[in-house]
Amino acid sequence: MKLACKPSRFEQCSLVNRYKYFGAARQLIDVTDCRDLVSLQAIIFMILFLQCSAKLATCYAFIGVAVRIALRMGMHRSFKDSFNPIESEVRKRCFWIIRKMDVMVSAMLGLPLTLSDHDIDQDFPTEVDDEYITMEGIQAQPKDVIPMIAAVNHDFRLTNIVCKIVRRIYPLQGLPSVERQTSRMYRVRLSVVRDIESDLKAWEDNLQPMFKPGLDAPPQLVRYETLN
Amino acid sequence: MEKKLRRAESLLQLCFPGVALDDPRFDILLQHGSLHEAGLGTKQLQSHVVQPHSGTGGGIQDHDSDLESMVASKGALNQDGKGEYAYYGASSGMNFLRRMSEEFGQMAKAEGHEGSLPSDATLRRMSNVMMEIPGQSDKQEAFSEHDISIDDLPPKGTAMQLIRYALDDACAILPCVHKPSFYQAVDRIFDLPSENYSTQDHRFLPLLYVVIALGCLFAKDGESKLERGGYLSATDEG
Repeated sequence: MKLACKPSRFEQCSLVNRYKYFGAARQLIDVTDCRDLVSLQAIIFMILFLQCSAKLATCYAFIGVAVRIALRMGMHRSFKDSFNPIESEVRKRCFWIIRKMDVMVSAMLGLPLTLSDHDIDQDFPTEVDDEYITMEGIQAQPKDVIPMIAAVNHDFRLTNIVCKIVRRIYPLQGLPSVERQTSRMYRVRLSVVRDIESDLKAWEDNLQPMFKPGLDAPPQLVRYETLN
Repeated sequence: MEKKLRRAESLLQLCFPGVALDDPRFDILLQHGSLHEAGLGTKQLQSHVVQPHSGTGGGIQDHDSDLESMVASKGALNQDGKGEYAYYGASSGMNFLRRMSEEFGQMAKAEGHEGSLPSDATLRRMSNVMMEIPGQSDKQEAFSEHDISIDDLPPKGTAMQLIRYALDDACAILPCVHKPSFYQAVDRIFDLPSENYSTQDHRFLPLLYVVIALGCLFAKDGESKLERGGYLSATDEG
């Protein structure tokens, strides 16, 4: 996530007011007793705010809370007929976003991942723009319009590769170590590195052309290319 | 097509290790059925033979080399003056930077590039930021409780602009809300008097506040005191 680098002309956007709104949201939610989707979305935005404010330690704690809430709500499992289409899609998106934030912040801080791949059988979000998802059902996306959620799903697949990297390139146990003068080092097999390289190549090959950097693309797609 | 070509190459290497596709004798050997003899005279690195989708590299372990990691396997456990701990594991950025400084710091100094790697003091400051240790200019009351009411929400036009910054810019790749439903809920909050709010509206309020807070972080304007003075002086002010 990029830190906000441009100031605002809005009086309400002073630093004090940003924290005031954040503080108000935090006051209104009891994070220890939250089991509805709207409150979980609020916690996700709090995590984003903290990340963008360089408060990684607090952010890490909130991510842990969000993961636990999502697990209590069964969002790591696929329930096809239990929710209306909007709620079903929002559940999928929220779960995978929480999973992505957990993986990225844990990797940055060098801390263990909370969820293993084996504990998850939730589907990726349906690749359709918001306006085609209604209470009655999900309409088909027009063929000439690429849904932005397709780029988001690619990002989630990349997160799975990051999980693999953290698990196999930086494991805690099971590899021969080399005693050095000051610290204990460890070894990684070249085949593991090549395996991950081939996963990354396969991920890149599966990207739609408009999401690959370097081509002329509208500003919104450039944003996705950069963030991916 | 490329994927198929790569698969075909891998299969060929499995069946006929050492055979080079650009070997000038390839067509002749194929015609005579003696491709297996082609690898005898060539020196191909066995480690390039990779089974498709191999997770463990089982069959080629004998030829598989080990790479020594540059980061310590135990990570780093820091403690500040107050007795609070912070652990950074092997994959953390802090560990990597520290190791870079240790391994290459002397080299950089010798070549006159002293500023290119973070010094110990810089690493400590970065660690403090990540551990959120209060510095001289940090205001602890930043996240403390504020009395705020519905009247403290910005006017609807401003709020909608801030919400767009949050949802379209900050959450470009993290779309956790269904936008049409979200904007409908926002309209209800601003159009109805607060005494007529339902339970759902009350539940929506924290989400609205934090989206506006995030929108404030991502709002754009080129001319202001913040732009001129810089971010650090603004945080000093609180």
